[in-house]
Amino acid sequence: MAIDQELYRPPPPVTPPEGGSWRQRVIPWWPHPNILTGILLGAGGYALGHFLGNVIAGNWARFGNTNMNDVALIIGYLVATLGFLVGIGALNYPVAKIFGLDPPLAKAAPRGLSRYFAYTPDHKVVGWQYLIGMLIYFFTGGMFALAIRTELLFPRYHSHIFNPETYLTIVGIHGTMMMMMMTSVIVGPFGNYFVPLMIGAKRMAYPRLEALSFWLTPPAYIILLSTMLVGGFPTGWTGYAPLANEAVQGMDGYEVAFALMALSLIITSVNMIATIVDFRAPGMRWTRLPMFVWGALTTSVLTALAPPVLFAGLYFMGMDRTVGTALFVDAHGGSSYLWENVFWFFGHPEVYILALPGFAIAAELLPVFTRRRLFGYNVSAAGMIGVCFMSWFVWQHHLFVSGINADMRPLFMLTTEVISIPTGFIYLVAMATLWKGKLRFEVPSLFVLAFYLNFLIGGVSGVFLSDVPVDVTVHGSFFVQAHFHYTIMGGLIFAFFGAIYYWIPKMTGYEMNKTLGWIHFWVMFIAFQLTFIPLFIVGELGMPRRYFEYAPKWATLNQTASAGAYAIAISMIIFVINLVYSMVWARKRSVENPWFSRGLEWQTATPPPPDNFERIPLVLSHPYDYGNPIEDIPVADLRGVPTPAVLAASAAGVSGGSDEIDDPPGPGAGPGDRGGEQ
Amino acid sequence: MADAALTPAAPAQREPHHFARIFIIWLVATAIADILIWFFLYPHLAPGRLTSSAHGDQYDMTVLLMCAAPVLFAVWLWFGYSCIYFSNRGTVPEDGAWYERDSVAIQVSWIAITSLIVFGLFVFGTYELIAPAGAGGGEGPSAIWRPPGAPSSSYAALHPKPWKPGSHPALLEVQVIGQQWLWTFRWPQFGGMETTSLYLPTNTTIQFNVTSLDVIHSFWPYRLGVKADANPGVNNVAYTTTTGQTHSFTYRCDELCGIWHGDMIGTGHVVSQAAFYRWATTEEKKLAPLTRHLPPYSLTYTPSLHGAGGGLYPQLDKPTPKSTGS
Amino acid sequence: MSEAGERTAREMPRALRMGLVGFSFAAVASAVGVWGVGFLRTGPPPVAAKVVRTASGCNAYLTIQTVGSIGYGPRPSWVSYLVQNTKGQWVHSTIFVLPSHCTIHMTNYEYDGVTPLRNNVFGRVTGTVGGKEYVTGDVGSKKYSTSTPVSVVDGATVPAHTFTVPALGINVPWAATTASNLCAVAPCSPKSPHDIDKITFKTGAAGYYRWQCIVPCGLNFLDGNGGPMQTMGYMQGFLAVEQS
Repeated sequence: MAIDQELYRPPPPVTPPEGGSWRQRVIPWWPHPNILTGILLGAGGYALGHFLGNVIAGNWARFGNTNMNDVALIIGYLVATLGFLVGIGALNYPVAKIFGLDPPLAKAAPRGLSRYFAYTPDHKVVGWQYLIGMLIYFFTGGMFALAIRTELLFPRYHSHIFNPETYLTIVGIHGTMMMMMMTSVIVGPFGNYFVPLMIGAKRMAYPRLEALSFWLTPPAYIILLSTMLVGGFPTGWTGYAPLANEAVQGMDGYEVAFALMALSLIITSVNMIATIVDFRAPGMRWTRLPMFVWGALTTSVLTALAPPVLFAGLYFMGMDRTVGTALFVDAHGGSSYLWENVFWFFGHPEVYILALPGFAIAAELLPVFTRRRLFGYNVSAAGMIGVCFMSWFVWQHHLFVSGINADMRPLFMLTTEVISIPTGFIYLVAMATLWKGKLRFEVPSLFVLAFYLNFLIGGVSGVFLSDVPVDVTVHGSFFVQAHFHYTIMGGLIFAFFGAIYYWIPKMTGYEMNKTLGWIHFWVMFIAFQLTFIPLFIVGELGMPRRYFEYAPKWATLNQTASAGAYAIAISMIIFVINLVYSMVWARKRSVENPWFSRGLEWQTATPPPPDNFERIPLVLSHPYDYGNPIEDIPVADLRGVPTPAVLAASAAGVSGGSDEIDDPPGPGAGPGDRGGEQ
Repeated sequence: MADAALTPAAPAQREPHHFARIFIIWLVATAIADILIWFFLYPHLAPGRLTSSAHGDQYDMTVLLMCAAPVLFAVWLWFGYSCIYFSNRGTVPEDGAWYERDSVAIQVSWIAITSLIVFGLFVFGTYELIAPAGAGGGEGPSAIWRPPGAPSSSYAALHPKPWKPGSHPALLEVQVIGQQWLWTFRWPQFGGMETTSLYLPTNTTIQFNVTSLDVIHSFWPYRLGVKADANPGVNNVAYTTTTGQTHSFTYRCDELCGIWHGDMIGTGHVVSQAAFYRWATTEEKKLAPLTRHLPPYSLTYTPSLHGAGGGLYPQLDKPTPKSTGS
Repeated sequence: MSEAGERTAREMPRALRMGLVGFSFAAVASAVGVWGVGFLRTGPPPVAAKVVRTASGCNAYLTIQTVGSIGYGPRPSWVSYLVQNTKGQWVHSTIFVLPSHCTIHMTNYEYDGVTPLRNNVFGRVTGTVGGKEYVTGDVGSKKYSTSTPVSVVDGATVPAHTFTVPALGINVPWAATTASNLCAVAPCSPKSPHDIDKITFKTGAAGYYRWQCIVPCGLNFLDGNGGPMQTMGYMQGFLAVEQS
């Protein structure tokens, strides 16, 4: 028997030292790193950085003439971020280790509500931080969307709600908030929270990196919003040079915020890949990996490889704007194509970073609600891997009319259309899983069905865009805008809300109100169609993106879209009311496994205990074997200690093969390996 | 995707033939939709038929819609049908059908069908791109897909044949210059004059040479079926051929270029060849005092940075010819 | 609530605390939101031209000045337009309120010096009555002591700025002084070197028409097209033509 029973010894109990909790014993609360010290040091860091920047570049003529010292602002942002991270305690552990000391204040890990505002290596707390953070970022971005739709209520020759440059900043912040901050919208909250639970691990591979990945996002958020105070940025989220070189100081905020977010994504993905590869419980073979974990893995491969390219591009842009290189300035030997290529080489994998988690959530939830074995497990995983792979070969379809590589357009037309083959796998799996299932219409399953219907429209309209002659007409128009809102908002965000309704009972132990959830879904679903179908039409009729005014003949369509946008906002208010009502006011206890899911995360206690599982579970069968009439094997043995009978059952399991229990336990399976402790 | 291929493990009760039902509804819906698209939507679909490239784009759009309709209907019907017949509206969950193995036939046929559609669309799209000389899209400085009579080198583009009305007029070169935030047009066949208005003759093949003086713009005369990015220092060529019909069209900027991107628009006119020739020759005379001040006609321009924008790269600027203000 | 029985004593204060945290967060968020909307909506104030209606028709008088550096505020070195309101005060704004179907007599006191155009096609006066502007002061090397009509100027040596209204077809390169001791704080004293440029144009239907300067005058921004060239209230504005 390859399994060392010693490994399944329960971890030693962790007791506070004599005389009460650690906090009282060791140190008062205030010198402990917390969010207030973070903010304080962040502000101080900004002042210091700004001062340094003025020392360095204060007497440069061009900064004097423009009244805008980009060097001071960028250094200010960077030192502020560093100060914030120091203040929140991110560097305590590594610095202490460098000097061979015990990390200061390590035992005073905060408990209770305050740990959600702290730098903590507990993957479930980080998951919560991500969830609340992402909701805040999403609603902030949504406010900017409302501002856009308000400005577009009226056509040309009408007075304006916002100044045109303010409007462009609003468009830019909406786009950047949604495409940059929201990139982690599923892998951040649900990836960090549920991947260890789903693969039977006690923690993520690098808990401190995990905390760092989250705590880089608030500075990015603040810096992005602060661009409004220094004149905004005119480029939208794509940041095209040389317009970005012309722009005022707001552009610096875009660069730094995007770079911080890129860093956060790289860190998240390294952690995610290491966890999934190394920390799977015994018996969690690659062929038993839940679909959500496949999605997290493929997304992480993209987020590990794509953001460094963006990082380089942002570095070029920062150099152009501060020290005066001319990488994007044609007159001095640069090229405007350089940014376009670098950005989209990141940007197209990026949009699949936003699509794959949606596929994963949908494939994960659908079998639970159809009560039927997931059709084509391998095809489903292959679809995600195929999309992940192909997404590197399509970026030039953003440049079909730019005049670069005109003879390469058929190739990129082909690659872009070929990527719809693996995407089609996702639909094959969904349609065949629905077939002769017993679909239950719970709130999460409604969101999943809506995901498939919306993403279908988004995906099919994507084929239109990949066709060069059609792209000549619709490129850069509202057609494109409607297309990617169907894939990202209609796809990813619907999946995100489905995941919230599905997993919140697990995360809190309380039920979400079903009626309010039902209202939320239908208002959001109908309002979403109302918003974006008219935008397909105005785009096809010739309205370009990012226009602050438009021909009067398009007023009705635009006003319909605006009405839809307000209705989406109402659905979001209903969601917030539901969340607050269900979690704070009603607090109705959820049953242990309300969806009767076979997922490993549902087998442990609700809400999950600090170490997820009392023992590392032994995974016995496939997570989607619903309604197996022949032998109903439980998904895992939570007792951890494999008895001969269990092992025999496992060996005779559905997937067969005797090697499965010979999988060596991952590093996460070690006794007393309490990742939650610093 | 035969229903029989999904072999149930347990013998099922006598059930209606679900797959056949979906297939028949799908067939009818698709046929109706495609007929409606071809006969009713196609003639009215944007961007119209006023030039060769616009007509090509319209045709492509129609074909894609006719391919999209069956795909959309298949998925919608399948989902709708499953929601009605394969659902459980009770409170107690029931297990769905059990299949020991996933049908390989279904998977293979799905992959085959989607691949067939995709490669078919690729071949169609490539043909529609190459045959009508680049389909109106920007092809960069040396277009490889050209209409007959188009200049094959930058030298030829700089020295075009004169344009005169006729049954087979020469190719008309129009240089489109984007600058923040207006479009201007230079006419190498009319003394290199530069206008702020755009007139085009009927029944003529037109070469747009699109360039920019500052940031990236995108020239989009929508009803001509042309779109070409204006990049600084790049000559981006796009072709189209006007029909016999006279009309007005709007041209817009399609790439975010700063504060007035939303108002970087204008109205162009396609007029008869004689009227165009009259307009062009009159303008050429009228604008002669202005044309003196313009730089010689060229495919791209690098404006001197000795203005207020100078100083950003002082070591690279030409010497300032005279003192300037702010 | 019927579920009250399910709550334990320990959960009550926790719920309360969560509620308090949530409430204070919501309060702060709404306050920031309200302030943010107000902040985003700030812009230059609309300034009305002086309108004189007689039996023969509508005449309006719009007087502006252009200064090389505004001299105060958060961007003191930015080039800017100012406009005189009906009380004769100079206001830092580029939103001019004009009556519809009216003849506008516009006077620009050009205190800024010459900046070359990037495209000399905008050296031609268009869209004004007679296609001319009337200049007192320097036009390149020529000096006019009385108001002299000009229709085409050399973009490299004459204009400081332009007044370009694409929707009305107006383009006027403002001829500028060639002196070097330029005014640097607005509003400028008439003693500073300047040109006086006058045009007359007609407004049509009511509506918001954007106007811009097309001279690359954003000092030390790339192409001269950043900063004041992309900010309302400096080199970009609207003609708010109102129903009269």
